Amino acid sequence: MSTGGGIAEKLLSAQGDLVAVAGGLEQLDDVFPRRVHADPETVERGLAQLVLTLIELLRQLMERQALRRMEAGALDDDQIERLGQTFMKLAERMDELKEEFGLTDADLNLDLGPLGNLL
Amino acid sequence: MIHLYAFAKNLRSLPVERGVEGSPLEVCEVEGATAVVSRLQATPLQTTHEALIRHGLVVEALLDQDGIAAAARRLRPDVRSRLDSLEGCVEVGVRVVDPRREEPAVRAPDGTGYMHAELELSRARDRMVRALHAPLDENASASAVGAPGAGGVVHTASYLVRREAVPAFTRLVDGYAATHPQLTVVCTGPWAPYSFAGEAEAAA
Repeated sequence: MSTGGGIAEKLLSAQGDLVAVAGGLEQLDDVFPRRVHADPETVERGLAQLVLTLIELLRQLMERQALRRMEAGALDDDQIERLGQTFMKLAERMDELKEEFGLTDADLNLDLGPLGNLL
Repeated sequence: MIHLYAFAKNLRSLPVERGVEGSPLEVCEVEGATAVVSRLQATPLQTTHEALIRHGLVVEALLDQDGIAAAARRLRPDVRSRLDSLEGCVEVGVRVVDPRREEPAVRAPDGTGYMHAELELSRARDRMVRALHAPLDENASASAVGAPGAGGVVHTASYLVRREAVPAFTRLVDGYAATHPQLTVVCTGPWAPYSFAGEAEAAA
């Protein structure tokens, strides 16, 4: 099917790695409802993807909240150190789990339709 | 099922494009507004790539005629007001990708160092995005900013811009890109004002 003049006609201005941006277009499938693949070979990875996505969401929310409190001067030095240690270890463990299940940062996301992406 | 593509104003003729499922386009008067529709067999509509592209092609063809957005006098006041605010405007999309955002998490010798490094990164990103968004927002009738996403996306936003102001708007984006060569900056449009057709609260 023709798409008329094509995407190039809609490009008003561009600089940098357009492949990285165009990569998002290849994820057009994301506009359709996402499902956990339930066949035996992929169910474990699908579930891991879902669980890690939720953990990553919580990690980001907690970290942003902690940074906000730190910026507001609401945390003392000990609390900053302990929170920093926790977030560092959590980030390292997440990297290990992503590698174990063959997932990338882009996989840890959910399209929420009109609400946008989860992460 | 009747599939609605857009409300139109100053519609000279229907586009030659076929609608979803190859259905012929029709004009339908709804409370004084001109709606471009087609009749579909499938109920409910199957959301396929082909259906999305067909819908998009019809909307683009209407946009080429400057036909999007009606100012009907007998529509409910809130709908009429929303359509009036879109008249003469198009949507321009801006997306900024910072490759450094995809780099591994901050490595620091201790927790305090980690938190300070993360805070500085967060502040730097905020400054970087503000430097782009503030002037664009001033030159737009409205804007809708999305949340930063995966893939290093630090800013994704839609701006409602008067059609004649698009070149000046694009120059602002070009100017920002020139001073931030490390970023990928993409500006697309003009699109039908999809992001601003909903409730007033949807647009910032």
